[in-house]
Amino acid sequence: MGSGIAQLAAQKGYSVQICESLSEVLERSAKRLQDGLVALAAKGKLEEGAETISSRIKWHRDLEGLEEATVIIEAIPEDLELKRKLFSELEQRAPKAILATNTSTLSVSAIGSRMSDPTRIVGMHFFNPATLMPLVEVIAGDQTAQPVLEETIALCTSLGKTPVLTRDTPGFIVNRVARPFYGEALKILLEHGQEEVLTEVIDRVMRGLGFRMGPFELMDLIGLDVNLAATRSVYEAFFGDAKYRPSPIQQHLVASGRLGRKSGHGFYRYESEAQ
Amino acid sequence: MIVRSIGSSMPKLQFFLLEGLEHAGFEVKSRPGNRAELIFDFCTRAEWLGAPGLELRGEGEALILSLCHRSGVTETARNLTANRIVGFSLVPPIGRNSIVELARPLGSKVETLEEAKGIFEQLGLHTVEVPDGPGLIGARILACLVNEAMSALAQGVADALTIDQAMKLGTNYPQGPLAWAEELGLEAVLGLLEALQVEYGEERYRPHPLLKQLSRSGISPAEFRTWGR
Repeated sequence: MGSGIAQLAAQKGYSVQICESLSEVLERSAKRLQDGLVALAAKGKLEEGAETISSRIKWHRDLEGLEEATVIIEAIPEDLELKRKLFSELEQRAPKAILATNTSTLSVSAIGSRMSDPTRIVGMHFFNPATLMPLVEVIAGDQTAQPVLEETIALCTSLGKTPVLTRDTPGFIVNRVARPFYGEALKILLEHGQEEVLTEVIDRVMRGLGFRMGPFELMDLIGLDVNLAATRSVYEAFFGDAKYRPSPIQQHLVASGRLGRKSGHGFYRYESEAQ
Repeated sequence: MIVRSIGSSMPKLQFFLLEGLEHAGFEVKSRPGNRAELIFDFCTRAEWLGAPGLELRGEGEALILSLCHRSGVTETARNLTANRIVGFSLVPPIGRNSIVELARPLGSKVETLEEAKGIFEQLGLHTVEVPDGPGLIGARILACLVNEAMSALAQGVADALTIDQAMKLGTNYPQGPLAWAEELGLEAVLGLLEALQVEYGEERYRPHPLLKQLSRSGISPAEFRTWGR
C-alpha cells in the first residue's frame, strides 16, 4: 500500500521519498509504480506526464534524509513491535514531521507508546487502492495533539480524500462494521454445505440489495488471507466475541492456498490472474 | 385471482406488492372471508403469536407468501393450517436489480415454489431460491450489519452519519448500515436479531442495547442519525 500512497501524493504535487529496506521489494515496487503511471498516462487519466510525477518520487533503502520531511506515513507489515520501534526511530530522524500510521488492525496509541513525544503520532488509514478509494480514517491516539490532528485532516483534503474522524478502537469504523458482511455469509455457507451453488446465490442476493460486489467475490478481490487477518485481528481485540469469529471455511481455503484472484482460485476460479 | 395481506410489518413493501398485483389484474381484498387465493403474510412475531391462523379459516387452499423476517417458513408453516406456503424476503429500496429470495418449508413441493416465483415475476421481480431460516440471506446479513453499526455507535467510534459515510466511501456500500435500519425499520431489525438468537442459541445475535433502547423510545432512525453532529 505504501507505493499507492506515494503515487497518490506525487500525483497531487508532493515530493515523496519511499523508504523500503528490502532491495527486491524496492525494485519490484518501483517498476510497478512506473509501469502503472505509464499505463494511466496512456489512458489519458493523468493530469501531468508520467515522467513529471515519477520524478517527484525518490526511493531509499534506509531512513536517511528525513530531516526536512513534513509528513511520514508508515505502511510496514502489521507487527506492533516493529511499528513501535520504527516510530521511536522516526521521532528522532524526522523532527519536523507528522508521524502517521496506515495501520488497519493495530491501536494507534499502542504504536506510539514507546515514543518520547506520542503527541506527534496519528492514524491515517487509507483504503486499497489508495489512488482511487476516497476515504481516509483519521485516528487520534490517546495523546495526539489537536494541531497534529487538524493538519492530518487538511492533508487528507489536499490529497483529494474524505477524512473521517474515528476513535482508536479495533478495526476503526470500516474493518469493524464490515465484519458481518463476510462473517454472516460464511456462516450461512457453513450451515448448508453447498458451497458451489450457495456462494453464487449469496453474492447475487447481496448485489440485488445494491452492493457492488457480494461477500465471496469481494473476499476473492481483497485476498482471503488479508480478509481473514482483519477478521482475526478484530476477534482477538474483542477477546473472542462470537460476533467476529473467523470461519473454518475461510481458514481451510487460506491454508490450502486458495487466496482469491491473486492465486487464481478463491471461492471462484480466475483464469488469467494466477502469478 | 383474489389477493390480500395480513400483518403490519413493512407497510411500504406491502403497498408496493399489492398495488403492483392490482395493476397486473389481481383483485386486492382487505378482509378475511373473501376466499383469497393468494395471501401475503406480513405478521410481526407478536401478531403471529396472536394466531393469524384464525384469519385464514376458509382460505386453506390459498397460496401463502410469508415474509421471513421474524422466522423461517418451516416454522411458520407448522403453525398455520396452510397447505401451500412459501417464504420470501424482499428488502427495499426496490429497483431493477432487486431480487426476491424464496424458501420452501422443509419437505414441501417444488411446484408451490414455482407458483410463488410466477407471482413475483408478474411484478417484474427476479427470484432466487435460498435455504430457509430467519431473515433468509439478505435481511439476516443486513440485520447483523445494523447491529454492528449500533455497537460502534454506542462505543463512540464515530457518530451515525460518519459511520454510514465511511461504509459507503471505504467499502462501496450502497447506503450505510444505519440508513438500512431506517429502510427496514428498527422493530424489524430487532425482531430478526431476536429470532436469530432464539433459532441458533448463540450470543452472536444478541441485539445491542442501543438498538433496543432506540426501538423502545420510538425515536425515528432519521432523527437519531443526526445525533452527535
